[in-house]
Order: sequence, then structure tokens, then C-alpha cells
Amino acid sequence: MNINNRTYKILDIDRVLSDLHPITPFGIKLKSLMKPYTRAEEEELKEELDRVEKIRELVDTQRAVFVEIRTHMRGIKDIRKSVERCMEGGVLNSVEFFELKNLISIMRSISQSQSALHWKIPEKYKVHVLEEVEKLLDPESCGLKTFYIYDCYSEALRNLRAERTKAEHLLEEMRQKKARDVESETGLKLRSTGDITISRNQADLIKKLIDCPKLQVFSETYINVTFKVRPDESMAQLMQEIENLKEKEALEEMKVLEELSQKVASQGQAILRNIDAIAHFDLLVAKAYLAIAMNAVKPIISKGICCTIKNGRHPVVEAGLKKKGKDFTPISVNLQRGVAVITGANMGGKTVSLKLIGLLAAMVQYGLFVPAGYMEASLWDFIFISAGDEQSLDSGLSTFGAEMQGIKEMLDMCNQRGLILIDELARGTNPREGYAISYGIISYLMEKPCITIITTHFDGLVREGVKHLQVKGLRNVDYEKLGDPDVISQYMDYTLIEIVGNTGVPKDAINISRLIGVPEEILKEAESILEN
Amino acid sequence: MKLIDLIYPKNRIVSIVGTCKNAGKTVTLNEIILQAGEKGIPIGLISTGRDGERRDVLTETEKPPVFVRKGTIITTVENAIKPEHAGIEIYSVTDYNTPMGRVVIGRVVEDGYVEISGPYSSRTIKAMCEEMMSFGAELVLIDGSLDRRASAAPFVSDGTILATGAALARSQELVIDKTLHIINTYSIPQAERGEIRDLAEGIIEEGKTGLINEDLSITYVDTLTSLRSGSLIAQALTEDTRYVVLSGSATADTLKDIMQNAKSEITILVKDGTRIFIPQRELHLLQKMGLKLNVVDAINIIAVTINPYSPEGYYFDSAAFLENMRRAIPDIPVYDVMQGGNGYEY
Repeated sequence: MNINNRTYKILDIDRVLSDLHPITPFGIKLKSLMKPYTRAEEEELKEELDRVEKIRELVDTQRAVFVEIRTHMRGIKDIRKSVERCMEGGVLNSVEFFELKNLISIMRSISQSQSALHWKIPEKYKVHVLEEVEKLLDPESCGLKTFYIYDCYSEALRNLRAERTKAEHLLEEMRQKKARDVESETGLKLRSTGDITISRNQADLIKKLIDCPKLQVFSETYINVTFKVRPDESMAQLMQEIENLKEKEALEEMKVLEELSQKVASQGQAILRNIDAIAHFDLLVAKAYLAIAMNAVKPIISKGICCTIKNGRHPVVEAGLKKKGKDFTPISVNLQRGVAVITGANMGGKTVSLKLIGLLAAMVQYGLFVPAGYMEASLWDFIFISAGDEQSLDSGLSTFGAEMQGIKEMLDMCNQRGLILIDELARGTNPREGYAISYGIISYLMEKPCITIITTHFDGLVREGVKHLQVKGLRNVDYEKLGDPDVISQYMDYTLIEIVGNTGVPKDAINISRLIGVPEEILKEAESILEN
Repeated sequence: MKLIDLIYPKNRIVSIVGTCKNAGKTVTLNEIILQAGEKGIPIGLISTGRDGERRDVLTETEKPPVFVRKGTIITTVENAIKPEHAGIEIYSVTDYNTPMGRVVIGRVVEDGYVEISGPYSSRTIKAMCEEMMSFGAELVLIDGSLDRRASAAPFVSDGTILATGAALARSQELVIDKTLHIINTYSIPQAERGEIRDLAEGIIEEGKTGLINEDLSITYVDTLTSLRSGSLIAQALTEDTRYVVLSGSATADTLKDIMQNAKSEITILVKDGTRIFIPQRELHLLQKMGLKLNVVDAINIIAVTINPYSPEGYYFDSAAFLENMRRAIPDIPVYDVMQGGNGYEY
């Protein structure tokens, strides 16, 4: 499926995709890799559209479950790198284990919520409870979401910690006893940390305390001396022992982290699989929510070459109008293999119609629902749009040159099935040649397995075998009453109608110029030229 | 009365801010932690971001690291959780990043030294204080770094301990004077009328500048793009203007512009005392010009701690310094943190 960059941009595919909001970092990543389905993937696309439809139904009937799942999903952080590093033999740290534990617990919540859905979830979207990993990270099954290098990870660790705690208690007791001894000997009250600060004004007291074998000077300042209980030999030994135990404990903890990392690594595939399932489920739900937000329908994929849209709306233009409190006039088309020409008034929405057809066709191929009452279309090998007004300053090409360069690229592809949209073909050159070239291109494209839609102001392009569509435009409107050019759009009827028989291109240009306020003497002369 | 008794249980989130570097802020913090420990109050610790601890190494003064008891809830950073440090059970990993890794909330599982850290924004600090309380902390202490005095804002903390000391100025008189200025700024009175406070709150919430008129209507002044917002406000003043509400900071220039153009008796309102940045001299001048300055939320200064030592080598007589400071601020308890336990009896 080929959509070149220019077409992608002109059709505003970006803008539509930016309204697609997966919640998890995994879903967001998957979205960034989204590609249009190819013709060969028709079955997969149909299945995807069916799933979006299913989810949309479920959102209607089981909204609470989706609120729940989305709340769980919001807590997910991207820890794929940690999992991958662990699988490559790396050692995770406590924070990484905490985050993993958190993710695994969210996976359980999502899995439980999923099973409440009235849907037989395909494996690709199903999140499993990873009991093995849960057990590894919550060895005491206390169900807390916190993480710590728990005692039960290693017998040695448990013993070391117990031993250290015991030693610390013993040391504290000895210190307390010493402190009480000091207090009864000196009659002073020590702080709970076993120290006391004496002002230098009390020189005698300081001298006395310096001589006290149970105390030692801890720190001195200009005005104070702070004494601390002096540890005796057995206390000093105990302190050394505690230090040694702490060191061993740190080493043991590192060992535990290493072992735990290996055990998690052995479950790495299952974790990554679940991450994948979350990504797919997340994106699928996002598509369903987008469909709801756009009031969109499931498109029907047609085997033949056709594109039928009933009451289609351009989502980006519609959103813009909505902000101004206006409605988008829906557009309907029914196109088969061959060429269609759209003629009609200036400001009549021909370009919007063209872009709408292209955008909706592209949305179908991205597996999205379309903002229309009904749509049936084939899958395309390529979608091409030429908006006619781009200049390529880089290559020094004029409007016409740039247009023809794009057209040439398209013509190279047009033996494949394509949707070709050309806005005002050859308008950037002299009308005589422009008309002739347009005529030739239309003849050429009539034979191709494509649908081509061309907007034009040239008379005479419509002929046998070319469908003629026209924007209703300002017909049946009293120009005298319009007055303000800003209201033109309000009176403009954007409906596309099919014209049978050869009528010319409507002449609204002078009327519209008059509305906008172009001097009357110019317009009078223009009219007299037309009459002659 | 011990410092902890002034703090708890009346206040649940308390910030400790210094008037300058080496004012004894960390000593104060450790003392409060110790006293809370003796009382068995479960505490939470957070600091207002920025790698302030390291900076003190440069001035070569001894900065005591924070020693905490088992069970303390702390906000720290990813890279500070290592097997060789005190064990920490991880409760929450936030999205807030620092050069030392992400900010993490955890519970200390064994007594030991820990590194306290935290986010920069007041709003996030507030949220994390509440998170720590949900994990069981009864009293949360915010170690406010020097350039983040905003943690004293009533929006964030219920009360503030102000640490000041000899490092602020060469003479006792100057230290007391400067400290008094900060206290005065922080103690600027709350606007008396509740409806005025509500209106001002609304204007500040929106980040706008607004004038409250006699009839309680509000005139907004577009000052967002202007550096000299004072002159723009001045132009908008009318005889009906009663209050000028500033959502940002109150600076001397702005206030001068407003005062010189006041057409009626007006009061200037800011969110709280941490938004006022006016040097002492100019504040006096402005007050002589008739400035009336009010805040929406008053700061509650629980106590002032003093440190008679300066790392530059000079020191004050601690007894006299304590005495003078207490006389200068009779309404707020003053403690000498360097005197060990006795300095805390009040």
C-alpha cells in the first residue's frame, strides 16, 4: 500500500491518527508503527474491523469495565528495557524490581477485568496472570505492591540480618547502661543519642567530664564541648562485628538480586508476550473510542473497484467547523472504475470533497472506522492526491512543474489498483494547453484499474465514459440578497450531484467576485466579453 | 517545651527553611527527627529538589547527613537505593527525574543514613507529602533548599521552622535585623475580609493580575507580556480601586509604580509571604508612602532556630545571641540548635 509523503500530508492522515489515543507506552509504540493494510491483507483487515466493532458494542454495554481497564492501564510504565536487559543476563536493581512487580500486578488486574467482558478474547489481545513472576516478586504472598529484598530470598540473608539486629540491640542496651552509669556518676542528663553538650563557661564540669573514663569528647566548638558515651572494648568489638555483618549483608543482597534477575529472565518471554497483548488491546480499544468520538461506521470492503460514501464527513474540517458552531455538510459519492470529474462553483467545497474521499479511503486501510453514514470501498495499492498548488522551491519548479512531477510519479504506478485524486488539473499553465493535457491524462487513466477524480473549471473534459459530478453551489440563490462575502459559505450547497447529459461548467466566478467586492467596472467588462 | 511539641500534632506538614547557607537547617532537621523518634511519631521526609547537599562540600563545612529510624517514610532518588545503604522498601516510583535518577518514595527498614530528595515544583511536593501520609507518615518534614523557600508557602506546608544563624551576617545585630525582615515578610497579615480573600484567590488561581473595586467587581489587567507590569497596573487604577491582586511576585518596582499612581486608598494582595521580594530599606520606604500589603494565606512560623557559628570562622556568644533573638521576636519561640538537647527547652 503506497501513500507518498505529500499525499499523507495533504490528506491530514496525521491529524486523524493524532486523535487515536492508546493509553499505555506499549500501545503508543504500537500506534507509531501502524501501517495501512495491503490488498493482500484484506482478511486481516476485515477481522480487525470486526474486532473494533465488537469493542465498540462492548463499550456501549459494559462501559464500566473499560473505565476500569483504562484506569489500570494508566498506571503502566515502559519497563521493556529492564525486561530485555534482564533477559540478556543483566542484573536489575530494587527500583526496577519494584516497577516490574507493579506491572505484573497491573497485568493481573487487566486480565481479571478482561475476563468480565462478554467476548471470547483472541490470544493476541489476552493478558494473562503471570503467577510465576508474582511469586518471585512477592515471595511471602503478602499482596503488597511494595518491593524489598525480603529475608526469605535467602536463608543466609535472613540469618545475617537476624544476627545484625541482635548485635545492634545488644549494643544499644550496653550503651543505655553506660549512659545510665554516667548519669548516676555525674548527675547529668544525657540525650537519647548518648551525648551531652556543655558550655565552655562550665570549665570545671568540662574538666571533670574529660577525666570521666566512661565519656569521650565527641566534638568541640568555640563555646561548647560535646561528650559521648565512650564505648568499652566489648562495645567496640560489637560495633566492628556489626560493620562486618553489614558488609556481608550487602554482598548477599547483591547475590539475591542476581539470582532473582535470572529467575525473572526465565519468565521474560511470558512478560514480553503480555506486554504485546496489552499493546494490541490498548490500540484496539483506542480505535473503538475514536469510532465513537467520530460517530463513525464500519466500512465494507468491496471486491470490485468502487468507492461509495453516503453522508461522509471530513473529520478535521468538521472539528474546525464545530468550534465555530457550524455543521459540516455531508458528502455522498458513488464511484466505479474510471474517471469522474467534479465541476462547480468556486468556494464550493470541491477540494474538501476530494480530500474527504482520499482520507476516508486511507482510514479504511488503517483499520479505522469512517465518519460517514455508510461506506463501501475497495482496498487500494496506492492512494494519490495532487492538490495542484504546491510549488517546489527546492527544485526550482513552478506550480505546474511540481504538479506534473507528481502526476508523472502517479502515472508510473497506475497499472496497479489506485485511488487518484487531482485538484484542478493543469490550472497552473495556459488554459489551452492545460485543457489539452487534462484531456490526454483523462483518456489515459480511463483504461486503468483505478478510480480517478478530477476537479476542474475547464469546459469540455466531460465526455462519454466520464462521470460528471457537480457541487450544487449557489444555484437558486438571490445574489442581491447575499451582500456579505462571509455568508457565502452559509448559502453554499456542498452536495455533489451527478449530472447526466452534457451541461457546461457553472459560472459562479463573476457572482462570487461581486460578492467579495471586486470593482463593478471590471465585472461589467468581464460580463460583456462573455456575452460576445 | 520541646520543639517537637510546638510542631506536632498541630501541624502535619512542616517545612524547614534556612535564611542562608549554613544557617543550621540540617542540624535542626536532625533534631526534629530525633525528637519525633523519641515520641514515637512516624515521620516522612522530603526535600525540595536540587542537589543542595553536594554543594555544601564546596564550602567545606561539615554537613550532617540525615540519620533516620526504621519505619520512616522517605522521598529519595533511585541511585541512592543501594545494598550498601540503609535498606529501603520501595513504595512508589514517580515520573519526576533528577540527575540522580527518578524520585522514589520508600520506607526505611533499618536505622541508618539516607539521602533525602524530592521534586522541584511546590504542587508536586504537596502531592508527594500527601502520598507519604497515605503510606503512614503522621508528620512530614520538608527540607527546603535555600532557593526554594516556596516550600514554606501555606499551600504546601502547615507551618515552617526558620533556621538562621551567624552565617547570614558579620554582626549579631545584622543577623537579627535580616532575620526579622524575613519574619516580617512572612508574617504580613492576611486580608481581613473573607470575601476579598476568595476573590483574590480566584484571580491568583488564573495567574492574572486584577483590581478589586469598591463594589467587589474585578477589573483584569493584562500584564502577562510586560516586565514592567507596575506601570500597566498604574494606568488601570481608578478611584474605585480598593485592592490590587498580584498573582506572581511582589517586587519593589511594581509596588512603587502602583503606589505613586494610586487614586484612592488601596491594599496590595499577594498569595503569601514567599511571593514578596522587597529589600528591607525599600519596604520601609514603601510603607512610609502608605503601602498596605496583605496576603491571602498567612504563613505559620512555628519556631526559629539559630546557629551562632559561621563557617567563615567567626561566632557569636551563644547565650547572648539566643537572648537577643528572643527579645527581637517575642512572639515566636527561638532555639539554639548547636547547644544540643538543652537548647531546645523553651
